[in-house]
Amino acid sequence: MKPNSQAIITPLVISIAIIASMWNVGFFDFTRMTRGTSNLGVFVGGLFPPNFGVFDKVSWAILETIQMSFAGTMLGFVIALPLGVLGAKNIFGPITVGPVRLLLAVVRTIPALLWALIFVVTLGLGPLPGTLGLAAYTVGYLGKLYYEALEAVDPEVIEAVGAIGTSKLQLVRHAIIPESANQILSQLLFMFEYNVRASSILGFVGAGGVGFYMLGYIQTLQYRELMAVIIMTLFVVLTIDYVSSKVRSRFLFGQK
Amino acid sequence: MSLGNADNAVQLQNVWFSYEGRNHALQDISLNIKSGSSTVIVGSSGSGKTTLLKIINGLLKPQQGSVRVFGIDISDEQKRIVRRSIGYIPQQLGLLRNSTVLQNVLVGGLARMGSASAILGIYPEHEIKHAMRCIEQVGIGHKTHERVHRLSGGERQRVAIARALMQKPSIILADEFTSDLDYVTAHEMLDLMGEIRRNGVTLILVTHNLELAAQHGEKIVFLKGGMKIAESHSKDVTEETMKTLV
Repeated sequence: MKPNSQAIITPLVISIAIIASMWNVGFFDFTRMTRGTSNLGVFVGGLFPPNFGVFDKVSWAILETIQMSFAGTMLGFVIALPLGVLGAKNIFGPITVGPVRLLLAVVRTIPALLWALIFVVTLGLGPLPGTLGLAAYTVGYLGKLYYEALEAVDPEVIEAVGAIGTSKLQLVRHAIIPESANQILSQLLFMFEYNVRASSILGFVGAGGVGFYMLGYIQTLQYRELMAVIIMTLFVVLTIDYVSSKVRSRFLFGQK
Repeated sequence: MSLGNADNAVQLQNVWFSYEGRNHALQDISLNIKSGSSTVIVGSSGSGKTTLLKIINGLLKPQQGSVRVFGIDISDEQKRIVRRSIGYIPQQLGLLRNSTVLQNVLVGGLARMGSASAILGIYPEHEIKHAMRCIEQVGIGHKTHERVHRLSGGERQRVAIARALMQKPSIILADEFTSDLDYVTAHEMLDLMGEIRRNGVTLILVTHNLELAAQHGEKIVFLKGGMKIAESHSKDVTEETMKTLV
């Protein structure tokens, strides 16, 4: 195939695929789209002005959301780190690495919301199933990030420390983890940020946190109260993003 | 010396080694290195120098032949005991860049610590004192708590030497460890290694720098294409001869 014809065919195929996908999901149903746009205008109009009369009770729910995220992230972390070690090809052989990676992939496939639903079914309503749901998702996600980070450690460092006659456990504790500590911390903070955002909707399935109020205000058409919750949640998420980016840059390699 | 007082620190007999799917990296190497001596292994890239060092400290296992360190065959059972007494300085040094000088040097003593304290990172006071002495010995006492990534090339070299000393080694193996240094610093490092040798440590250095080999090795071993092509006392060979051999 000539380069010129390839330059035309590739974008053409991609464009057709995009248009076909949009057609199938209903983007070209103009009647529906027009009605939807009009409804959206009514909905957005109903959000303003936000009603901050709900500030006190929503603040407690946001605090609960942060606590769920923090506990879920830390619980997930203490399980993910050893699994990350067991899943790293530069530390263990395929007999250990294979099953661990498969387990992490299975855990990661189920989204946090579904994990929360599973724990709501088994443990009942409240923040506990939400926290466990976040922990489970954290295990799957952080475990993968950690084995990748551990595998990125300079092989010569591993060789040099291993050559001293250290055991595998000593090698992991004193060489591999310290060398990837910045990434471990950075990914932990990223996961915490992600979990704060994810936990905002766990209340939709009865797993505690601010999502419970969001769903309630949507179902009872209290859009001004909903807007207040969204603004308060946004403020908390942005604050946590800012603080964690400061912590990350403090610990990143070469910075002090 | 924890490995006994055999005359030969290292004995290799008819050692063959090849990496998977490749030609022989080492072919029929036999070598005796006297205890307390300084030996320089020279050869061009791909001549098998690094492979030879890795065979000596048990990082690689020869497919044929035997390796004895102070008379002990480095079989799997003995490997850890032998390794404890061999300080190994790889070409890129293998330092923990995010850790301090002291933390890097303490790693050298891990193999003789109890497993619980080693895992928790609680070092006995005598180990910390020994690490401080090693750091002082290599002349970077003022950098003890500095992180390694902030040090100059020469200072990092000193940290690697201090880590090897922390092992209380009988042998130090150093792989091209002056290759990234300027002329003056390279000679400083080799002088420092000479001092260590005078304390009874056997030195085995690998280099492609013929001048350094002539000045700092008592014995020079020439490798080419995985084979030992010559072995001589440094005073018996001229630089011209070396150039012909390498």
